[in-house]
Amino acid sequence: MKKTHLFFIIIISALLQATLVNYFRFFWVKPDLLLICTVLASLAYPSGWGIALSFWAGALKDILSGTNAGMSTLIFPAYSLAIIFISKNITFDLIILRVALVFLFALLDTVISRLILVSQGNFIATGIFLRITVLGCLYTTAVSYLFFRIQERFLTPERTAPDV
Amino acid sequence: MYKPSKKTLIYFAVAALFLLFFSTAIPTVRPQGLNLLKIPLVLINFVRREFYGIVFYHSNMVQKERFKRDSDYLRQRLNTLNEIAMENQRLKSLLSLKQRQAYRLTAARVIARQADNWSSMVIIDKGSFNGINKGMAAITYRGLIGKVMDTSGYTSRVMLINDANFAISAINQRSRQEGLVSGTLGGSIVMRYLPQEADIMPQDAILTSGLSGDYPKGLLIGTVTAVAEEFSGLSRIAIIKPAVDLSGIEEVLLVAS
Repeated sequence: MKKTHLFFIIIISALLQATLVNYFRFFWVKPDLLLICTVLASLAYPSGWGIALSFWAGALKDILSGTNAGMSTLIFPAYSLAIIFISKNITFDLIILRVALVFLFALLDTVISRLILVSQGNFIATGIFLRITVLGCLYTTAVSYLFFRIQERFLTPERTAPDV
Repeated sequence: MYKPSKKTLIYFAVAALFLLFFSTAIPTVRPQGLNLLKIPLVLINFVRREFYGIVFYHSNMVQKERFKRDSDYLRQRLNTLNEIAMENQRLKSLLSLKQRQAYRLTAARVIARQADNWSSMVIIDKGSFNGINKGMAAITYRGLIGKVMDTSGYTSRVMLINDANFAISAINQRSRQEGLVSGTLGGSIVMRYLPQEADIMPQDAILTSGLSGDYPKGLLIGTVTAVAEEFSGLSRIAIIKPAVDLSGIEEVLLVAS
C-alpha cells in the first residue's frame, strides 16, 4: 500500500466518521475509523512514516471532535510507536492478530481518553464510560476486520512465488 | 536489552515536544481545519440527502401528505393563537409589564457530527461571518437542541443538550419546579437537584427557565419519562426525553436576542 493511499484513506475515514458513520451508531456509540487507520499505518509502515500518518489521523480526529483538548494528536503517534515496538517481536500476518491489536488499543484509548477528560474537569459517569468502552471497543474491532479484509483484497499487491 | 542511542533519544524528545505543542494548539488550529473540511463535508451531506431522497421516495411522499394535513390544521391553530397573542400583548401593555424581547433567528444546516464518542455536538455551515457567536442557543421548531461552542469564519460547533458537559437551568411547565438539566451522552437527558418533595411526574413538559444567560425563557427541552431518587438519596432526578430527536438533526436555528 502506498503512503499517499493511506493518507487519503485517513482523510476519507475522518470525513465518514463525522458524517455517514453516525447513521450506524449502536447505543450512541460509533466505531473509531481513525484508530483503525492508525493501527493500519503503523503495521504497514513500521517507521517514521507510520508515526507521521498516525499524527495526521489524530489531528483530524481532534479537529472534528467535540472535546476541546487535542488528545488524539498526542496519543495516536504514541500508539503507533508502541505498535511498531510490538510488531518487532510479533508478526501480525494473520488478520485475527491485527484485529486483536485494534481491540487492545481501542480499550487503551477509551481508558486514556477518560483519564485525560477527567483531568481537564470533564467528568464522565462510570455507567456512560463502561457503555462507551465495551460497545466502542467491540464495534471498532468488528469494523477493523472489514478494513483489514479490504486492505488485503484491494490494497496489498499479490505475492507471487519466485521463479525457480 | 535495547539501549537507545543519544541521537535516538534527542529525536524522540524533539518529536514528543512537537506533539505536545501541536496538541495544545489544536483549539487554535481547529477553526482553520474546519473551514478547509467544510466543502468535502457539505458535498458528502449533499450526496447523502439526494441518495435518501431517491431511496425513501415513497415514504417521503406519504409523509408529505401527512405534513400537508398537519400544516392546514396548524395554520388554523396559528391564526387563533395569533389572536390570543395580540390580546395578550394588549393586556400586558395595559399592565405595563416588560415585554419579552423578539429573537432573531439564523438558520443553518448540519454538515457533520463529532468524530469521537466522548462528546455530542454537530458542526453547522454558518460561522462568525454569518453573525453566529459563541454561546448562542440552538433550537429547532420543536425545542432546544444546544448551544454554540465556538465559531470559525464559515462553520460553528454546536454542543447538544445530551453532551455530558452541557448544563442548563430548567423549569417544569406545570408545577414551576426548577432544576438543572444535563446530558448523558445518550438518547435521554437528566434533570438534577430536585428536592424530595418536588412536584414532578411523567409527561410533564420541561422548559428553559431563562436563568441561564444565553437561553431565552420558555424553550421546550423535553418531557419527563421517569422520576427516580438520586444515588446519594438526598435529592431526586427526572429522566427527560428531548423534544428534538438529537440523532436526526439536519437544520438548526440559532437564537440571537
